[in-house]
Amino acid sequence: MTRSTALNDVEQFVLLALLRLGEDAYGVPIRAEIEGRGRRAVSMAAVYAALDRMQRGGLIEAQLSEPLPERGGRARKHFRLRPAGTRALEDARGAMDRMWDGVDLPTDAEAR
Amino acid sequence: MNARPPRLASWLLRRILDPSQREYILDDLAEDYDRRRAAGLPRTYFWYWAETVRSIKPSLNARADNKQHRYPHDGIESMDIFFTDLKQSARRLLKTPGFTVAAVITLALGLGANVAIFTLVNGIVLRPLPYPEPERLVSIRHTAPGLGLDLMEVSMGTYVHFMANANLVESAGLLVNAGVNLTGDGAPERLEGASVNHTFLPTLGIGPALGRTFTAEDDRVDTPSNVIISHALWQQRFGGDPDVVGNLITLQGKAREIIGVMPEGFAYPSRGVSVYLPMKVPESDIRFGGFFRKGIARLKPGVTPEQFAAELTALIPSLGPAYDVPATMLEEARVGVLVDPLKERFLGNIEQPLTILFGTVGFVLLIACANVANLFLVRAEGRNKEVAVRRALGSSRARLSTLFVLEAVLLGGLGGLGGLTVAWIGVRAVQLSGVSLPRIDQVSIDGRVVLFAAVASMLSTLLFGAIPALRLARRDLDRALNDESRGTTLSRGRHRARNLLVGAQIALALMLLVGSALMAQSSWRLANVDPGYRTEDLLTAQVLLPGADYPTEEDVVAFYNQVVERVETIRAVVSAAASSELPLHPGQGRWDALYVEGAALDPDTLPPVVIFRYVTAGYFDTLGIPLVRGRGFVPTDAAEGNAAALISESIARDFWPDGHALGGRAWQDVPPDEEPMQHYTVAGIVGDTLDQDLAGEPTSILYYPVLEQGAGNLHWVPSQLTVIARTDGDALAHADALRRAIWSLDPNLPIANIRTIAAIVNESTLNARFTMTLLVLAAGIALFLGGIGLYGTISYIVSQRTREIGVRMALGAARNDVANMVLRQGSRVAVMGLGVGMVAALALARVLDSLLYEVSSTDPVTYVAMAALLLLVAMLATYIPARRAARLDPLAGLRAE
Repeated sequence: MTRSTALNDVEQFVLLALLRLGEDAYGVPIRAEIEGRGRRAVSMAAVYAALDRMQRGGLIEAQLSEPLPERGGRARKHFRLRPAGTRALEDARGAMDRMWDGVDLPTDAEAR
Repeated sequence: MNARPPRLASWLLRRILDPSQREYILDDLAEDYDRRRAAGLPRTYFWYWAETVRSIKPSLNARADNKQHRYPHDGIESMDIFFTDLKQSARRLLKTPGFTVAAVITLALGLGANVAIFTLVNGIVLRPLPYPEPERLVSIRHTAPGLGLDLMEVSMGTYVHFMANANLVESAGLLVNAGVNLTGDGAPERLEGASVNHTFLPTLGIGPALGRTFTAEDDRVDTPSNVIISHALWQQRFGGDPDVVGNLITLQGKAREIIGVMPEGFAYPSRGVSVYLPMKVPESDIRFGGFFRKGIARLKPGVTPEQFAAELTALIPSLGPAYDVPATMLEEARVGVLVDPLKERFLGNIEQPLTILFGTVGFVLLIACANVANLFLVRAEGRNKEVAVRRALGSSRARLSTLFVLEAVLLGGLGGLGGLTVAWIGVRAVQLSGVSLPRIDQVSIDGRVVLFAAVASMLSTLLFGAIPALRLARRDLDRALNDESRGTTLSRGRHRARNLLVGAQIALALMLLVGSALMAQSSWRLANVDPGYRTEDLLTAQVLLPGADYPTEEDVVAFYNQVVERVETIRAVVSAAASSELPLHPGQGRWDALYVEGAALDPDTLPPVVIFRYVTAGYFDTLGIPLVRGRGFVPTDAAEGNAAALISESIARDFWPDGHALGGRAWQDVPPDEEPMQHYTVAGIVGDTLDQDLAGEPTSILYYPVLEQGAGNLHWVPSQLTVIARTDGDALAHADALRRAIWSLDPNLPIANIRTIAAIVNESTLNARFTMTLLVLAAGIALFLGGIGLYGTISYIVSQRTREIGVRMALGAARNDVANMVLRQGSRVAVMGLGVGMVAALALARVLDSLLYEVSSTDPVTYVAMAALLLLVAMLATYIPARRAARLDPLAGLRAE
C-alpha cells in the first residue's frame, strides 16, 4: 500500500537521515542526524511515530540487527528506504523547488 | 552501561509510549543516554526527563493512529477504560445528588471523628517535639522521696553545679513561668511570660526570627532587662512591624527593649506564652534551695537519658560541700535526679481516655459505614434493571462490580476529604475550648494524619462498598428483570439486609448514648462535688526544712507558726495556714492505726487506720472546713498533759458510734494494752473532706495541732510542710509574694510546687471531663447518623410501596391506618436495634466502670432514658415518611411506577 498524502516535515527529515546513514540507520543516529545537521529538536517518540507511519505506508522497511550485548542482548531496528520512499522524497523536493522557484526573499529593510 | 536512566522517567515512558515501538524506543533512549554520559554531556538526567515529557504528544498521536487494529490491551488502554468508568461513576453520583451528599456527609462525620482523635493522638503522643533533633532533649527534675516529694524542678544551685561538672550534656537551660503586666499604649494586659536563661533557647535549638537571642550579658543583674516577644504578640500589638526590634514595651511597670521576635508557631512551654524575659539571678540566689526552675538539656549525640541521669546522680553528694548542705540532709531527703525525654514532660496520664475515645469513634465509623452501605443497597435496588440489561448485553460481572466499587471509591475519597475537614474543625474546636491537654497547641494535621485518613476511608470503602457491589453483580439476571418490570412491593427478604443494617446502627448508637450519658453524669457529679473545703483563691507552696538548720521539733514547729504569721502579712492574703500535707496528694498522707479509749477491739482484725495530719490553728478557717461540734485549736492544746486533737466527722461516726466523741481520748499506733506516749483528747469535730480522691469516700483524718506551747510534747512533726494562703482573688498572681515571704524567714529554703488548690482539683478531674466531652460528641453524631439511617430506609420503603399504598387507600384504608402501618415498620426495626443495643451497652459500661464516679454502670434510669431518646428520634425519623405516605393521593399512588 502506498500513500497519497505528502510527507510532513519530520518524515522528510527522517527519510533524508536514512539516506545519509545507509546501513547504520536506527533510532539513535537518525535522531542525532536530525538534531545535529537539521538543527531540529525532535523526540525519539516522534521519530518512531514517523518511522511507524511510513513503514505502514510502504515508504520504508525495517530489519532487526543481531542481538547486541551493549543493549542487554536486544536487537536494534534498522530502517531503509523502499522505492516508494525515494519517490515520495522526490515529490516533496519537487514541490518545494517549484514553490521556491522565482521567489526573492525581501531584505530586512523592505520587510519593515 | 554506566548508569541507568532515571527510573521513574523510564517507568512513565513505558506507560506513555505506543506499545508497537515501545521496546526499541526505550532501548534507543538508554543507548543515547549512555552515549551522552560517556561523551560528558551535561545534564543527561535532565535530558532524559525532557525526552519523557516530549514523548507524550507523539505517542498519543501514534496511539490514535494505531488504535483500531493493534494491541488493544496494553496499560494505557485499560487506563482509558478505567477513566471512562470513573467518569461514568462520577456522572451517576452527580445524577443523584441527594444520595451522594447524604453518603459523603455521613462518611465525613464518621471519618472526621476518627481522624480528629487520631490527630490528637498523633500530635500529643506520636509526634516528636518541633525542635531540631528532639530526641536529644531531656528534662531534668529532682525527686526527694525522703521528704515525701516525688517530683520537683531543679534549683539554681543544682543546675549550676550539674552544668559545671557534667560531661554528657551539650547544653542546658532554665525556664520559669511568669505572669507579667503589659501597660503603656492601649489597655493594660496580663500576659503569660517565661523567664529563661540565655542558654535556654539555644538548647531547644530555636532562635528569634527577628533580632537576636539572649546572651550571657542579659543574664547579669546589672544589665537592662530586655525582652523577646512571641510572633502572636508582635502581630497583635505591633501589627507585624518589621522594625519592631529596638522598640520599648512596658512590662511590670518597667520599659524594656524588644530585642527579638520568636518565629511563628514557637510555643514553649505553651502557646499562650507571649514574652520571654532574661532570667537574672543574683549570685546570692545560686543556692541549693528553690526547686522551681524547669531545667532542660540537650544531650551529646548518642547519650541516653539514663546515662545522663546516672552522671547527675553521681554528682548529688558533691552538692553538700558546694552549697553548705549537710550530707545527712541529702541522704534523709534521698535527693535524686530524674532525666526524662522532654516529650514525656508534656504527656500526662492520657493514654486511657484516648484509647476509650478511639474505640468510641471506631463505633461511630461503623455506624457511618452501615449507613452508607444501606444507602447503597437502597440505590442498588433502583438499578437492578440497569444491571440486568448490562449483563444481558454482555458486561462481565467483574466489570459491573468495578463500576459499583468505583462509585464506592469515589464516595470514600470524598468522604475522606470531608473527614479531614471535619477533623480540622474538630481539632480547632478542642484547641479553642481551652482543654488543658498536654501539647494540645502543637496538634495539627500532618502527613501521617492524611495517611491515616486515606487508610481509614479505604477500609470504610471496603466495608460499605464491596458488599452491596458483590451482592448486586451476583444478582440473578431473570429475577432482576422480572422483579422490576412488575413494579410490585419488594419482598420481605430484600428488606432484611437494610433492616439489619439500620438495626445495627441503632444498637451501636444506643451503646454510645448510654456510655456517654454515664460519663456525662459522672463528670457532672465530679465537677459539682463538694470536697468539703474551699477550692477558690487558695495558693499553696511546699517547703522543705533542712534537718541541719532545723534540728529539733521546736525549730520545726516554730517555723510552721512563723511562716503563717509572715505570709499573713502579705497584703493580698486573707488568712494562712501550714500543714504537713495537702488534699488531693494521694500517697502523701500519714496513715496509721487509731486507738480509742474504751473501744473493744476484735483481736483478729487489724485496727482501722486514719490519716494523722499536723496543721496550724488557722487550717480549718483557711480551707473553709466547718467546725461541726466542739471547738477549734487553742494555744494550750499542745501543752503537756493537755494534748488535744480535732477529728473529722467520719472518725466520730466510726469510732464513737454512740455519738460521744467530744472529750474522748485517742492515740496513734500503740495498742491499748501498752502505754502510749501521748493521749489526745478530742476537742472538736470538723467537717468531712474528700482529701485523697475527689471520686472517693470522705477521708478520716485526725488533726494534730502544731503549736509552739508544749512543742516538746509533739512526737514527730514532719519537716516538710505546705503553706496555704487564702488570697483575695487571682491566687497565682501572688506566687512571687508568697515565695519572698517564705524566703524572708530563711533564704535557703527549697520551695517546690507553687500551685492553687483549684489547679490541683482541676487536674484530678481533667481526664474524666475530656473523655466525657468527646464521648458526648461521639454519641451525638451516632444519634444523628442513626436517625438519618432510619429515615432514609423508611423513606425508601415508603416510596417503593407507593403503589401498594395507593391500592390500599383506594380500597378504603384510612390515612391514619397507612401512617400507622409505616410507623409500625419503623418501630419494629428500632425496637429490635434497641434490644441488641442494651446488651452491647452493658458490655461497654463494664469497660467504663473504672472511670465512673457515683454512677452505677448499670444505672437503669440512664439505660431507659437513652433508649427512650433513641426511640423518640427513631419515631421522628419514621414519622416524616409516614406522614408523607398518609398524604398520598390514592390516584397518584396507583399510577406510580
